[in-house]
Amino acid sequence: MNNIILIGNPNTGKTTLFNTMTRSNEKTSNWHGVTVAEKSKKFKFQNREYLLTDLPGLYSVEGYSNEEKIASKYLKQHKDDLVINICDANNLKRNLRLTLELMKMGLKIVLAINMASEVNYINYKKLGEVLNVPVIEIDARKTKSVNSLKELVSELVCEKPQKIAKLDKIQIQNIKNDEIFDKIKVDEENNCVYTNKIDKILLNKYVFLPVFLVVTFLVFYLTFGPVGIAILNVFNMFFEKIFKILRNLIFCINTSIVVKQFLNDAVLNTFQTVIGFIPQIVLLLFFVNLLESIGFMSRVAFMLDGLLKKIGLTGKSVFSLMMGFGCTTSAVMVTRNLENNNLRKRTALLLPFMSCTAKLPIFLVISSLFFDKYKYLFVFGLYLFSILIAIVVSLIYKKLLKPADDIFILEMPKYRLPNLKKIFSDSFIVIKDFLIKVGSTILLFSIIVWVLQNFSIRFEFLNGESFTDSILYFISSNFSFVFKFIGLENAGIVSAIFLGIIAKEMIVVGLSMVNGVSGSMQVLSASLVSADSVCSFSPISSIVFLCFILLYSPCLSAIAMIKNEFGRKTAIYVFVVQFILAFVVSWLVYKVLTYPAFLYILLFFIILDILISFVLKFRRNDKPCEGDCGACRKISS
Amino acid sequence: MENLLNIKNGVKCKIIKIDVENIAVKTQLKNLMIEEGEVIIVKGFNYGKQSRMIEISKTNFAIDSSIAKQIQVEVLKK
Repeated sequence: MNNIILIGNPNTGKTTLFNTMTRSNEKTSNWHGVTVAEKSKKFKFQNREYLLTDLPGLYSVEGYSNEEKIASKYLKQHKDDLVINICDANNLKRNLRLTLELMKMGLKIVLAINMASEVNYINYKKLGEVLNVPVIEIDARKTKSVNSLKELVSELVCEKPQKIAKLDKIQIQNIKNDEIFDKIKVDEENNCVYTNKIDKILLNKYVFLPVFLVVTFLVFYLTFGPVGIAILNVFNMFFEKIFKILRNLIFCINTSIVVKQFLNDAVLNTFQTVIGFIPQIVLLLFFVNLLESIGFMSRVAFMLDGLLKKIGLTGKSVFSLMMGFGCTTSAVMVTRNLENNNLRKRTALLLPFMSCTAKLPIFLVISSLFFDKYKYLFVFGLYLFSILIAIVVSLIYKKLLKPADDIFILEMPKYRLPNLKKIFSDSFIVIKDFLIKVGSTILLFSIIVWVLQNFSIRFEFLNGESFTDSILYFISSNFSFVFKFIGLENAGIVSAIFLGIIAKEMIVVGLSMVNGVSGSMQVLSASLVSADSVCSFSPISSIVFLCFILLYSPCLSAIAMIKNEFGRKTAIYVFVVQFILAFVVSWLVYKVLTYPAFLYILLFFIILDILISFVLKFRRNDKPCEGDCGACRKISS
Repeated sequence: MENLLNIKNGVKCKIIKIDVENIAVKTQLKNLMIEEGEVIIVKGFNYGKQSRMIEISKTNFAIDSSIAKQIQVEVLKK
């Protein structure tokens, strides 16, 4: 098999090219540092097999960032492989610096100029002549264009390896990228007009924040408001019919009632419950991916850098934090693009506060119980509340932990028209992962829950009649005294909370299994307010429950990733601290909701605390200094 | 010669000296072609004036103000 390495500056389209060449669906975006580790995949072309490896983006083989070190190490270990050096035509001058470094390393390179059609002032043919390497113009998103690159690679690897003629070391030492660029430039460049015009308006300090808030609100309104609900209803109507047929089939099979109940409750109900949330997850992901692909997120990072520094983070943390709204596990991995270890850890510690899409189903179900009319506002408020708590926690970390003095240097990508095909494929990846998770982990635990729920402690089949005799009730009721303090002593709710530690999707599955319901979100919601149900909510308990779910420990896979990236101690710390914090905040919310006077007491203590800290600060400033402050030095001079 | 932080938006200038001592930062600036002799256009600040946006070779970069104040420039065109 022939090995091929894909390398280039960050945000040049390496992963897009990797996806097109290998027909994969790896995450891509219009910002730097999306790929944080190498990944390989085989592909076949003209009856030959190749192994393509995509490396994280790097500016130099002697770079300092974690991704640059990974890429550089890999290149040094695989010096004989063919390297596709992908360059962005819009930033060719800077990209050529890496090309020259690769040539100096003596690597066999092919120069693939991505988005070449966007730049018409460069003579690409001449570039090949100057560097003496094969140069090809491509559009990494288009299969036809990438096939011509495959043809060139196949030709170079198998038929005419001598075509990869290299310049000798002295020749390479004498080449400078500025000189090359001057030789190949045929016209004055003028390709950033729109980006500059939009930036001039958008990055105004009076415009950006309102635009950012309006855009975020619109995303929530469209996802959870009338549009989202209409799509959800059509989707559920279709799947209800399919599941009805499947259910009829199960009850037609000539087998015992235990097997029938098992297939219906543990398998079909689990799938139907979880699948029902796909439309809104797809919509939310669609809008987030849309904002990413047009280049809006880098502007968010730049504009919010100053505000984030005040809470001990930097603008670069925005990328990980935004990914946290999708999946905490992958967001923890994305923190690798932060060079400073303290900053990395601090960003990762805040990720559990960014509500992942797996929490969305439970938000939707509970918010529809009592706040159906303003569901989108309620869910938006939940997200804002978790961000507010994250800010408070970050301020505490800023005081307690070592400073995270990471420098902020970021390239602003050009604004691009959204590539709908890519946005849909990115959303498809998440849905695919979601369904795989439902089919594996969630199904496995649903089976365990079903057994715990349908069998008594003496292992007698209960036939869904008496939940209070079940093993699940026995376990949950033994722990419910802890949750009594926050008004959630119901054994069904306690079991749902425990199931959420395994995977957040399990909360909804757990609630529907405990209540013995199946079908759409509306059916589950109706059962959760019914007095006859095993597990039911009051308006107060629903708010407290959501507060707890919003803040408590992330799922097991996220904890495992934190352990992998930061060690066991940090993983245990995150698990324990999130649980305690969720408990404390839920207790405060519960107290405020049940005894409104508690709010006044709470406010009194907060104001008292502010006054004491103000007085202490004032007294500290009043003390005479040792003569080394700025004012004293001025006087002495 | 003035430091980059004091330059008004829209002004074209040339980088004369970069006083950054941190090698990692210095390398990163060099990799992004933010180096002595380069012509830049100053674009603007973010909230809290913590970062400055500059344009080099038709590419925009956001730079931390702590680094920007260590970059000495000469104004070319106002």
